Amino acid sequence: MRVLLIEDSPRLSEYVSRGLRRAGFAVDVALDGEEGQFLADSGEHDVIVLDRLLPGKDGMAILRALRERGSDVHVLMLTAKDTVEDRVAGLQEGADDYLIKPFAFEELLARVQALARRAYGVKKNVLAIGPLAIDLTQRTAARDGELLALRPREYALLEYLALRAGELVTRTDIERHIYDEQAEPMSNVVDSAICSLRKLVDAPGADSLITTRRGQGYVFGIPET
Amino acid sequence: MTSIRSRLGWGLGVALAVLLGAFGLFIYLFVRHLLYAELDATLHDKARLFAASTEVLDDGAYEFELIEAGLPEYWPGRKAEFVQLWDLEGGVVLRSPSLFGNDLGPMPEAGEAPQYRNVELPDGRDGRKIAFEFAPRAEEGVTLPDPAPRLRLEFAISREAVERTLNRALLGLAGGAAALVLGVLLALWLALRIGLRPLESIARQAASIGPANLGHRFGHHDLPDELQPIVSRLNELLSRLQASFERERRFTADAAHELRTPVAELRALAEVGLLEEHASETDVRAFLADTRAIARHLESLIGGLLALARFSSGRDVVTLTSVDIAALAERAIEGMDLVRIRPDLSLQIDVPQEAEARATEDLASMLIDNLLSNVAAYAAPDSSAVVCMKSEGGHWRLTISNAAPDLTSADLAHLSEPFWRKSAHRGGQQHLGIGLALVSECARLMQVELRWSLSAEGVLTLDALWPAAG
Repeated sequence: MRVLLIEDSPRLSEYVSRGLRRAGFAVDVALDGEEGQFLADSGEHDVIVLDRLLPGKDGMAILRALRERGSDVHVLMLTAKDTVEDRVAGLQEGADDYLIKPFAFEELLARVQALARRAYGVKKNVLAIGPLAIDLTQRTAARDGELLALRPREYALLEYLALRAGELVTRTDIERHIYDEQAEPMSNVVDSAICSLRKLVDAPGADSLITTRRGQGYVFGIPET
Repeated sequence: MTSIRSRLGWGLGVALAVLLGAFGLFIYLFVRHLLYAELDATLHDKARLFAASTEVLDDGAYEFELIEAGLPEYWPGRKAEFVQLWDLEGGVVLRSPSLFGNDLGPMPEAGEAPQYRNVELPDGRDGRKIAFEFAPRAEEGVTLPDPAPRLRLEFAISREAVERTLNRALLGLAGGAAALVLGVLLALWLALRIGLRPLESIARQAASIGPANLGHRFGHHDLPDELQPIVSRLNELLSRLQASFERERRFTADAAHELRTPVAELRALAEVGLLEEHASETDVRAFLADTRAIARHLESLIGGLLALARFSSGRDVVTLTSVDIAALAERAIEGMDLVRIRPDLSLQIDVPQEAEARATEDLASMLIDNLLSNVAAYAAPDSSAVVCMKSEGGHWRLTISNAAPDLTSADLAHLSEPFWRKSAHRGGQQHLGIGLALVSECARLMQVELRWSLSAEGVLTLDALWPAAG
């Protein structure tokens, strides 16, 4: 899942992005409104965490521009403005959620996760695919009841594939949604990550849950016999 | 009885009732006086006629023509009149038959001037009596002895007709007065109701005003002239109260807003830090350094807010002494290291060796530090800034100017407002947003006059006029 954090406080954006990355999100950061608008327009993000008062371009203006452009990216407004009028204005402008500073990072994380799930039309907290059970809240995965030791990026890749189970997922999709600007994916990084994930999630001797479609991408799910 | 309507109603009602009663009494007494005067005149005429008809005969006896004529009024009956004559020795000379041998009373001590008195007539009716002394005339051809005999005459008639008329007049007056009082009270009630309606409307409006609707203003239309100045003043006070509430609310909201970002930073830092179980020593030191920076920012903010609260409360007693503000400015420029902080600024400093002004060192330092800090934070990139100080007619003029192309002249009024910034965003700034508010308060306490101006080229200039020492 790729998150865009548009926040003008360097410290806050640093620690929030750090926490989100630690939770497995790919995070891009913009410290002003103009850069934030530019990154948001790329359309590569599953969730945008948007501060309301920004230098350069106001958060509301960014949100308005996104909605006018037809973007349905999920936006969490993050702001110190706490009046009902402010919240209503933000939600009416097209924000999906609203969080007031100061906030608990756990809450921010939970809200970002919820918005990320909604981006793929998933409301359940646990996705069951074959022997795998992926707990989206706990950010854990288990095979036949046994927890898998996944690193954040491995979990992120598994979650992304699970959320799009049955669909063809291209390498570009994976690069866009799993890797942020800080990562510099090499040409074979996706194949390598898929290979690692297969070793972790597939039962020994069983068919892989990740099917490669040569030249196209990957499909996640119980393979057709 | 606390309402104006009750007070006015009772006051006017009682006053009118007393006035009407007094007027009625006056009318009654006046009519009574007229009626009695008329009665007395009649009585006088009758008595004089009787006296004139009394003659002294040659044998010294008296002849009473009217009695002897057998006139009916001197005989008992409903219209009986009563006459009694006394000689000066107290002997009764005549009793009219109507007296049935009774006296009209003890012998009067009247002289020639007639005396009137109310009496009870022998037949039990209320009557009016006249008494006077007279000398009866002699019968023709009779010479009266010298001195001539004198008689005292008492003549009484009924006053029932007068009393009846008076009673009717009294009844009429009482009835009229009662009707008049009722009418006046009704008119008074209506007049008070209509007259006090604007006041009641103002009272209702005033009662409905609370912190949530301070924007309400009393209407001026159809208000009596007496209430116009009150309502104007109330509206003015409401405007000031609303502005004060609004300022207070904005200040509180701004202060809360200003505190939220550093607290959010601190919380995110702590929570994310706690998640990193295997953080390196470098990471931990970075966390701690950031924590210290945030704490310093919060400390400055809280210190500034406390100073603002203390200055504006008026509790501080400021004793102005002679302070070298040129030295303070030099120290502030060096201490802030403007050249290092803003190497892009072309800084022009022209401060004399010495400038003694009436100030306090703490407040003057705070004022100058905040002004320079404002220049450092907001001067346009790659522009020039000027700090100069000149003596000017008993004052020291400190002028600080810098390019501020984003400001408009309308913004000048807001510069001294706490937390006012041209741009609403806060997060990336280390500046507290209360520097110029502190400057304004320091200047007020030291009686330093501040003048802000903005040139057409977008250069913001502050002139601070310090009273020179001595």
